[in-house]
This record gives sequence, C-alpha cells and structure tokens, in this order.
Amino acid sequence: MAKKMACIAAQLLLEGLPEAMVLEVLLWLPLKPLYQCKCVSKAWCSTISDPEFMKLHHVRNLGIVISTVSLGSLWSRLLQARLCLEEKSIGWEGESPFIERIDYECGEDKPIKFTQVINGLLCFCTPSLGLSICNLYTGETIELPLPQFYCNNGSTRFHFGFDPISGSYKLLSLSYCNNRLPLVIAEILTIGADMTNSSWNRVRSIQVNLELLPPQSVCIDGILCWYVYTRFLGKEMEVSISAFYLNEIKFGNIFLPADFAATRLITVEPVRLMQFNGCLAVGCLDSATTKPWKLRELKLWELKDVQCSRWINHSMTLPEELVRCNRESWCSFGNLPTGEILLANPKANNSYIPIYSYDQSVGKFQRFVIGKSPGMVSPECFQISCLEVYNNDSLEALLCKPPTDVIHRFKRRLLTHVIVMDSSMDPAMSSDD
Amino acid sequence: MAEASSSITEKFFLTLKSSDGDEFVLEESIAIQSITIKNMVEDGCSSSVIPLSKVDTETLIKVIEYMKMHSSTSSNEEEIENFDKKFVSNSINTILNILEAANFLDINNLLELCAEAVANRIKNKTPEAVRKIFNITSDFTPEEEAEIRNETPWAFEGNLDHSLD
Repeated sequence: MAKKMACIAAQLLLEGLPEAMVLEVLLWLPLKPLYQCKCVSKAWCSTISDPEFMKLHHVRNLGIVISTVSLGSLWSRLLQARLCLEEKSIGWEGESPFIERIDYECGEDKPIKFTQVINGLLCFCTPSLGLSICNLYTGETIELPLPQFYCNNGSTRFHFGFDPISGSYKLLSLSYCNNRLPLVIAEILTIGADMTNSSWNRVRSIQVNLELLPPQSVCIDGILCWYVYTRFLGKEMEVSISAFYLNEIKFGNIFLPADFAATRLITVEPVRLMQFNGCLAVGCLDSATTKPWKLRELKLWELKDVQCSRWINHSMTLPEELVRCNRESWCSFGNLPTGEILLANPKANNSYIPIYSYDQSVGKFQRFVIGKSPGMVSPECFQISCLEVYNNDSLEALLCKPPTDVIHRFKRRLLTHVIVMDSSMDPAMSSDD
Repeated sequence: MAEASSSITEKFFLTLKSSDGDEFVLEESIAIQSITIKNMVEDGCSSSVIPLSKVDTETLIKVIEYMKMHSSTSSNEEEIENFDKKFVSNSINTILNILEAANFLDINNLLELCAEAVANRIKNKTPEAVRKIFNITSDFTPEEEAEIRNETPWAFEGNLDHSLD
C-alpha cells in the first residue's frame, strides 16, 4: 500500500506542481526573475504572458507612492499604498491603507520639496537637512552637495531625471535669486553610485524663460519637460513645452503640433505630459465637440521624433469613472514597470482613487484602485508614482541601473514601428470595468 | 476538579491519516485552520479518521507543526516570525511538498508562506536550474528560447545561480 502511494507521489512530482501552485510561486517573483522564467517551458511562458496574470502580479508587487506637502502644516509626508483590484480590499475603516515612508518636519512656511520618483529614487530638500536622495524601497538616504547658488529661502527648485544615453541619474537645480535682479541660475549634478567626485556644474546655454517653468517637471526619455502657458496682457494665451536635455545639458523648446494649438484655443481642459510608447506625449480631454460620449475622449499627441518634431495623433476613450465627476482633475502619473501609462482621477470618488493602466499594444484598460489619504487635496499638492513593493536593492544598486520601463522602451522602440490607434474606437469596447 | 475535566472534554480531537498510513491526533480547533478539514468537520466526517491521501507523513508532520504554532494563543508575534523563518529554511523539495499540501488542505497563510519561500529560492536561479527543481523538461527549441531571451535581454543580465537548492 505504502509503496503504491509512493509511486503515485513520484508520478505527481514528475508531472510537476499543479498549475495553480506554479502561479502562486510566480506571483511572488520580482519582474526580472519572472521574465527569466518565461523560458522555463511553454506553459510557464504563456502563464507569464497572460494579461490577467500580469494584473495579479502588479497588484501583489506594485505600490503607489504619494508625496504630499500639506499646506498650512509643518509636515511633508511620503505615503505608500498598495494597488488593489477592488474597493473592498482597500480596508475602509480602521487601519489606514498607507504606510508612511518619510515624514519630515519642515521649517515654517518652507515645505519640503520632492522631485519626481524614478526607479524608486527621489530627491528632496529640507531647510534643516539640506538636499538628499532617498531610496524608497529601503528608506536609505544619501546627502547630496548643495548647488553653488542654492537659495536658503526655499526658492531653489530641483528636477530629477534619468539620462538613458549616459545611463546616469541627473539632478537639475534652478535657483530663483529674486532678491537682487530677477535671475535664475541653472546647475546640474550627475548622481552616480560613487558620489565622491560629483559636483554641480553651471548650465550655460539657456534658451527658455526659466521664470515661467512650473515647479514640477516630468522626465521622459532623457528630457525634463515642463508644460508652460503664458498669458500676456492683451494677447492670446500661449502654450509650449520647455525642455532640458539631460545628455546635452541644454535647455530648449519643443514645438507643439499645429492641431494641438488649435484645439487648445477652444478648450479649457488641463493638459498633461506623459510617457506614451516610450515617447513624450501631450494629452488633453476633448471638449471641442458637443457629442456627449465624446466627453470621455482623451486626445494624445505623441512625439515620435524629437529632432524633426514629428507628432502622431492618438485618441482613446477613457473609462467613464475617470471623467464622471471632477474631470479636470484627471492625471497621468508615470508608467507601470512594464511600460503601460497610468491614469487616475484623485477626485473621482470620495473614498478611493481609481487608477487605470493602458496597454497601448492591445488598446485595453485595466482597473486598479488605491485608498485615499486625508492629505490629498489636488494634483498640484501631491504627486503619485508607481514602484515595486518587494524590491530591496541598495541605493548604490539602484543608481547603477536604469528604470525598468526605460529598458523595456528601448527594446520596444527597436521592435515596433508606428502603431496608430484606431480613433473610431467604440467607447463600450475600451473600458474594461 | 469537575470543572477542569469538563473543560478538557470540551476539546474535540481529530485523527489525520497520512498517505503513508500514519495517524496523528490533533485538536479540532487547530486542525480547522485547514479549510478542507473544516468543511469535512462541518459535514460531519470528524468522528472517523480523516484520510489525507495526498500528504505524506514527513510533510504532514511539518504542516501540523505549522498549524500548532499559528493557532496557539501563547506564542507571540516574534515567536511566530522566528518559527516561519526557520520553517522556510527547509530544503526546497520539502517546501514544494508542503506547498502542495497547503494547497490541498486549503491553508492560505501556509500556501503564501511557501510560495514566497519558493519564489525567493528560485529568483536568482538559471532557467535550467528552475526546470530541474520543478521537474520540467523544456519544450522550447533552442531558437524559440533564444527569441524569448532576446525579447527582454535585461532580464538575463548578471550572474545567476546554477545550484539546485
């Protein structure tokens, strides 16, 4: 009897673990080993390539970091929340869905300045502690030298980015020395694993009006971007994108497509910059039409070629939840490590934030939710970014490797030609809720 | 005295039988961490021996150890944490067996603990080593495998571990 059982057990082992358990194990793997496991067998490969599996994997492995600067309070907070699939898994009452990562006391009316989060790294500046780079996975921080023209009164702004050409992280500082002449000084610091030799360098070539740059920048494809709009007295509003090329260390302007400018004249919808297909894209909701379902249309211009200023027009129908109420507060906030863009509307619901990822290759949305923190007021006061929860790389290790979505994007760019999305997409087909 | 004895008689015991034929007597309150066993108890099968044809003796001993630790009211969080740490340091084959048993017995915490442990063990291993651990024969042609490696070359950078444990 026992022999027979042992035989069956051996048989079972030969057949390998049941699929459900393989799935359980794969869900716990970080992205890199997960992709390695694709070549174990055809069955494993098809499991890992399944979008439904990836969705579960994202929920288990990805978190959202929210940096808030509570106006009127002396604290700046960095909160981390888990992505959830359903509202009921957020944890409504009792425990907060957030883990506090950094909580620093600010000086009076001089809040901490956070930069964009890239690859789990962010830079922040406090009046008392100076400038630091922080590894959000481990909480490790390294102090960075202050720029030469640093203004102690809090009027130095920092913009953080990754330059894929040199493979290094860079920090741009803009010091607004308004007490004498209105003067802005730009300096750049390369942040490598070895910080001993790094120092700030003054940026000489400046072709943009630095005073107009908004406080937050987005780094896409090695370019720090700012969406700038200016209104001069008696003139029409002008819009443009100011850029800082991290590799060439120079400022410049990116010219918006002609039809974008035309659309902007008749719309008051907010404009967002995002990384789409690995390129810079400008998006705004279409309000130029009177057709009611068209109100959910997101118009997107993708900058396919920076040199030739070649833009490609896309449009997609947003899930209704994102634009049901407070449609002006929709935002894009980076990408999943696998490259899909993330869209959210922090004000769409009172008790949670709906988040949608959009996979451009199949034209489909996936829905996630995160809980809401009391500190979230408007997109201007906080920024959200996505990161892997179970990463425990050291700060040095992070500084040595590019963000995952950058590696993806390089590959994708080699593979794909231009995919122009079907603009006549049926609204009912596109939302996946 | 009478009170004490009555409190003892209130404890129900179950007998679990491994695939090797060994029997283990366990408090019902501990055993029902397994949803499979809980359902059996609720269906009234608890009077007789519960046969676990898919779990061998060695694995069942481990599973019972785990259930005892995670149900006892005396063990504190730190103790449980240390126990779990030691528990997952078992050989990978043992853990795979426990994982299978946890799946069959429907003990969610144990399933997660083992799945995470297996993932931690295989995350730095070569695909060849992963195949050996899971007893899988590759059904890819060398060309197909090269193609997958080419899709995401960054995933295959760095040194990987060839060992099986």
